[in-house]
Amino acid sequence: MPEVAEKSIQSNSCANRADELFHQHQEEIYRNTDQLFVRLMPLQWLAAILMAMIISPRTWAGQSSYVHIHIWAAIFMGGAISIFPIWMARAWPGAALTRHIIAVAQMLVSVLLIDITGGRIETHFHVFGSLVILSFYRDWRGDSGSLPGSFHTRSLLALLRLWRSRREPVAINRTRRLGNLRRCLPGDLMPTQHP
Amino acid sequence: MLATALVGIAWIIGVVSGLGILLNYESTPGHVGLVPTVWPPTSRIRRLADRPTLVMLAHPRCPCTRASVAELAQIMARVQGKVYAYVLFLKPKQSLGGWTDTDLRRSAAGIRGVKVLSDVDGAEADRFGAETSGHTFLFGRDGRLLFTGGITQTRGHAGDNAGERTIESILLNDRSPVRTNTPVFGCSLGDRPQLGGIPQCLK
Repeated sequence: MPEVAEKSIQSNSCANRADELFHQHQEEIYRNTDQLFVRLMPLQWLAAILMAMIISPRTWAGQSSYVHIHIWAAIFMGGAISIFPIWMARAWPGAALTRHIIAVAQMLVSVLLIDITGGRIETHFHVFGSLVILSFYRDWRGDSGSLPGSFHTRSLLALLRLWRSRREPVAINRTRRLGNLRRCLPGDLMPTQHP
Repeated sequence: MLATALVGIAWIIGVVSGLGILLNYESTPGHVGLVPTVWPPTSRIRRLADRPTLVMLAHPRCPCTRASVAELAQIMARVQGKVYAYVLFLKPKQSLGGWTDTDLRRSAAGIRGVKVLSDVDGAEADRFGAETSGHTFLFGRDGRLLFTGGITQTRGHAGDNAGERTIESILLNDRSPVRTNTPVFGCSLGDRPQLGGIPQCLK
């Protein structure tokens, strides 16, 4: 009997030690990935400013030109997006909230870069790149590969839906639209009204 | 913890406000003038009666118009020579030689089937009632206006949009347009402030 009890104690302490080592390793991964983003965020910020300076430095009205809003967005929005997650990673390294803030910030960086580059298809690959780097957390809880990844994807989808609803005003007032058509088209070109 | 929560709330407010400003800027269309319902008789552009004619007025230095030119390239690739297309780039009289020689002009000149011309002092823009870069017009064989407006969904963003769909539908299916005017997103062609609007037509 004492032998069985001793084996059970040994096995329990072994499992506890395994758990301890596992959590220690997991914590290390979280902290290292946080630090990876601490280095990545300023680089993305710089990239956003450079892109804005190359693609749309100035906007024009006839012969007059002004600094384009993308430059200000890259400097101020890019800065605002990047600084908070960097601070979180320094103040709360390895915390779940830090990972989520980083994921949301990474999604916002994607949105900013896509916007600055005029919606170029190539910039959308930043989303996939972000998901890959977010998967380094190996935080599997969630349905998009990782919990931060899920946060990233869901926030991005929500924002894109909002963007699209503004860009594609489906509920455009039909009467107003037909009114505009009547102003613009000769009578025989008026389209038939669909039910 | 309280400091983190406060900074977090400030961050959310700041970022959401910034996105709101950007969204508003990009979804506010440029000003449009009074658009003629038939081909302007004083125009110096030659209109032939065997095919419809598409005219785009553009500012050679407008970054937003890159998207319009990219969309025009898509349209031209799909309609395969069913339209005569002109892109008229603004050329102020006092401007120096290289003012209009931009990558945008070269991109437009590289589109198959598109003829690029200079619009000295915006005379043609005035005739067509265009006040915003990227304003596109489609006239039928008989010279009647079939479509007027922009061919991007928002400012400077390429991608599927109502203007492009309408032009393609008219040219490819010979259908009566479902929507004949869309907002124009781009830089102002004159030194006027930008105001929103949908094209209004002259009777």
